[in-house]
Amino acid sequence: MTLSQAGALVAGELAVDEHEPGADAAALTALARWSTRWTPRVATDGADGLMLDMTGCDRLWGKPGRMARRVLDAMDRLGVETRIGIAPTRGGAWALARSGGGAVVITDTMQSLVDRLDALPPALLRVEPAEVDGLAEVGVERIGELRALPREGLADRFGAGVLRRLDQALGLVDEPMESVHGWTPPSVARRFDGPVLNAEAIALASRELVDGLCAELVRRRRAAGRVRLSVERLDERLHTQIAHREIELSRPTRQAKHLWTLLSPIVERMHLGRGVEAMTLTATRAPRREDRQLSTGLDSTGDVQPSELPGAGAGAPALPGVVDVLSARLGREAVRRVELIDTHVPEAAATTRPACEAREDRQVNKDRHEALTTVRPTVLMDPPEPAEVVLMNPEGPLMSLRWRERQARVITSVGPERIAPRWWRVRASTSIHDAARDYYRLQDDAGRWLWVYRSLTTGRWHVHGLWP
Amino acid sequence: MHPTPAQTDMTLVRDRIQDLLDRDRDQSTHASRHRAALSEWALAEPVGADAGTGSLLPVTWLIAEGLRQAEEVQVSARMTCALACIGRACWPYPRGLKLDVAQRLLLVDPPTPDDAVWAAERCIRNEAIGAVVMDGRGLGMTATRRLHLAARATGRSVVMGRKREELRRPSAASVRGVVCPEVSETGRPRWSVEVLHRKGLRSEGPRRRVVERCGAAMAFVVDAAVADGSVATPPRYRSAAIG
Repeated sequence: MTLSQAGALVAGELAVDEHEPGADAAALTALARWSTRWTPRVATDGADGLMLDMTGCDRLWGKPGRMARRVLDAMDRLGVETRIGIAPTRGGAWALARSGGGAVVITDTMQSLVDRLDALPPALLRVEPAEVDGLAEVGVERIGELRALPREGLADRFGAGVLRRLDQALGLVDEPMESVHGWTPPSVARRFDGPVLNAEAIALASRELVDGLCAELVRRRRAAGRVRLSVERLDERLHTQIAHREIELSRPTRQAKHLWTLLSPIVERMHLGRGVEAMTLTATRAPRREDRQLSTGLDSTGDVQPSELPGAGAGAPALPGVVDVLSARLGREAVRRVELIDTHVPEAAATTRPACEAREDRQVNKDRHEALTTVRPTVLMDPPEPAEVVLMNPEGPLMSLRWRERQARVITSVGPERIAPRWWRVRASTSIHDAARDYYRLQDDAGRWLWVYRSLTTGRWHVHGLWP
Repeated sequence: MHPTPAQTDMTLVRDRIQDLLDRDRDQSTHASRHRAALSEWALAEPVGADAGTGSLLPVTWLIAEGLRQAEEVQVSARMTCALACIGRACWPYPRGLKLDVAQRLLLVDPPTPDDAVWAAERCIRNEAIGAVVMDGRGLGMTATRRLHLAARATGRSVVMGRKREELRRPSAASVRGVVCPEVSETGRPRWSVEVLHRKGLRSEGPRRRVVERCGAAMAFVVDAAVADGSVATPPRYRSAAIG
């Protein structure tokens, strides 16, 4: 049926959604992973089902009915319409969930399951439609009727699938379940035979962990964006204590040399307590990174190392390496890059951000920036410092300036340049900056150039920048 | 022929500044123009005893000198390099710089002087960084020696801001100088730059130039009249014999 045909059949507006089987399957897999909160063994079942192996979970969730209600409520909160069947076998649960017996159908024992299945149609055994038709031709409309038939002839007459599905539902044949796994971060661990206090041994083990982690990352086609070193050590009272240290990388990598460069200072300064018993290295953030060809000039691990610098040509060296090294020792907040913001307000027009944050540069109006560069100071005071100014007359030229306990005669004055506040923020803030300002570039008798302004609201003068 | 303010060609400006520093250099060491080293610069008259960030150091000169050094590396290595600014006191206001210069800055705020030296050394040893500008107030001979050797080994320069009185202390720096603002009639900031000490000097020649900021690229022009020697501008500050 085409879309136009469907539209002709429906009165009013037709709601149309693209069928995306791939996206549906991905969503179902995600839901399965989310459901691992109930049981570690969860599998997708067909296009619209999940199979949860609840064996042994009653200690956590109580009786099956209670747990079913919790699952039902959770799914309801997610907006997923759910029907639940709980049975001793996978085939039995599948049939009960689709039997139309209510939102939750539970059978505790195999005998009660057989009794329930007997009343259900053979289609609920997960047999093929052709096989259902074949059964219907001989008058088999209930599973109980199918069970009554001699087993020897079933496979010959209706195919092996019918008998296999029946046995699976009745628990006579094992049915393996391929469960989904929640994402586990790439991790390698090393446990020592006893508490180790030798720094060289710790360093050697750490280096091996780095190599192991990189091998694991290559195997899983991932790269480490954040790495955590966990050290299990004995404290003064010989109690086991676990210390963590995490490093963040400006760009994901799986280069052992680079990771070791970042990790080695941490290992060197690590407090060993009464001895280290175990060490674990985990890539807590490990985005996917596909392998690349070596002929493209990339390294053997497939890491791309383009320069972040504007105008950098091919083969330009990478800045992230030194950024990572500096950030690992000084902290990510101590290593920063400039971020320019398209605004006319001086203190808001430029800020900084941690250099290890991978972020595209904002688009900056280059022409406006270049036009103002020569009239903006080299150093901006934060906050502006109060100053006293003597004017020839109230609106006249500036005669002298008193700033930092020093009186200076003004030789040159260029201005004013009026900078208005951001009107859309005036109401939200009461900052002193939220007033129109008249800026002047002043040169005093010592030759210093200062960038001063007068607030049009208060009439007070401030030094906002200088060219030292 | 001396450049005029209209002549903002960076190569020309670079040559003029280099000329200031190389005037008295022995010809035997003049074969290689770019010699990576540690240089120290102090502001002649810091503003206020408890001056705020940046006002104790000649930030404009430090950045300009750092960019000049970085550009030399870029020319020789044929690649774009970053400029590392270590210590908040020498972080410039990016809007006062050319856009591509502002985007090439790597700003580092080390908590201690030891961390600053370590960070500077790491930056020097990274080929993506062309030069390092740092706040070197309070550093001793050992730290400067370490940085100077690293600079010589890697071909990257360190331009260090110091206190005026620290220029009397022992240091491994190749160049030590004082920057002093000068009154200008052109409407552009002007400084006099005096080289107090330079390793490898053969003779005592003119070591003082007046430079003026020219254009948006943090380029400087040497004041033509002063360079000619036709106008004698006496230093306004008391120059100390150091080195």
